[in-house]
Amino acid sequence: MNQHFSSLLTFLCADDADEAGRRYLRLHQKLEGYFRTRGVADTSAAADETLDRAGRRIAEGSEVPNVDNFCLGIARFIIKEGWRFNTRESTAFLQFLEQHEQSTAEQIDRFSLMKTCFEELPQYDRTLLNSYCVALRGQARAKHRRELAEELGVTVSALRIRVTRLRQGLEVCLKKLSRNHW
Amino acid sequence: MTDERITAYLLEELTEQESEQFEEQCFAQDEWPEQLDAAEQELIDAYLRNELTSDRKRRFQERYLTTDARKARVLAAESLQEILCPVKPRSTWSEWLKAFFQRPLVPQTAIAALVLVTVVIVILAPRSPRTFTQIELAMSSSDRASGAQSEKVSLPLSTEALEIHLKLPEPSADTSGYTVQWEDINGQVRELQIVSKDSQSVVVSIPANQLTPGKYLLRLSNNNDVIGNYYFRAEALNR
Repeated sequence: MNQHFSSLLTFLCADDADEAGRRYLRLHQKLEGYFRTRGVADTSAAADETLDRAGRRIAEGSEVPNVDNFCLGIARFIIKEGWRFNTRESTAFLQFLEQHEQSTAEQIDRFSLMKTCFEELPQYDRTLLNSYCVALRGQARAKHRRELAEELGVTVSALRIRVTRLRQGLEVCLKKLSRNHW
Repeated sequence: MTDERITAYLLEELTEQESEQFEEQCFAQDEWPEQLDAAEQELIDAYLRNELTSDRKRRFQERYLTTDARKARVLAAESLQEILCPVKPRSTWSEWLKAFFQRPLVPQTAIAALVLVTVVIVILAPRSPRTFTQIELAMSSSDRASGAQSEKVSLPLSTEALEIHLKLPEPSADTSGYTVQWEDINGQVRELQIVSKDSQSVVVSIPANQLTPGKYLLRLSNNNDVIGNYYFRAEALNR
């Protein structure tokens, strides 16, 4: 086992390896969320790097009164470094998207790929996205979403999170499909 | 944590200290809040639908669209919008007018008169706000003087009104007698029109031009019996 990783696990919970593992995963997920919000492409690699550095600093004897803030500090530093997380994958994906933005109907473009992804969703999810994204404005939109949530028997927040996850899934699918065309 | 604050964070409208506090607040939770992703998607949608103010649109382009991952997210959202809400090709005004006047004249005169009357009515009629900043407030157990914890709203708003969702302390089957009064920073009490209500919450809105920095109180009553108070603080945004 990597020495830094081991130091971090011991620090997180010295007497229960399972609990240490759970805390490690929780930290990793939060770091991925942070890096995603900051616009990093490879969030998993960025979170790995953060925790690796955290483990190294702990092994070196750094004082860590609050592991959350400690890791967040390292993550911020990594962002400031402009580290290599805006990777080739992201750049290539973007080039693909821009290249096909002007494409003709005969060419495979991002719209048709997104359509493929959308059509792969179960009917229920497609209907939900269609209903949620009805292009109303302002108050009418809020009212429409409240009514939709009521119809589905969930809160507006729960509905919003459901739609967010569906859309994130579509982004992942679009990336995956477009990779074949790079 | 409100959508407005998340948007301000993403567009780098917060000070460095406020941004760090915001991140720490997110990181202190058991999981990274999904509300952030949801608010970010709505910000992207607003940008694509051209619903942002010119200042925010500029900030979006200069401060948000700074990484490839974010640009890819915007392009993906644009593709999805294309599927969900395809924009129908519109003819230009000149094309429409030309076609209009090439038809026989009598019906056009009547239609033109009708359009003119409609335009006058629309211009003279008071207009409801069309864009909203939303916040959700929980009922407070303390009073304003005791410095109750309150939700913050950054001023100026980038929208036409503040839409406030007042969460009821417990679900209520009958909300027909509910009223909401608003006490502004000068102690002036006014009735607020309820926009909508259900068993979980009551929604009111305050026009953006009626908000100045300070602490506000909203009082929810049922048939003149006070149920409870809600507080929020409006703060001038440090840019």
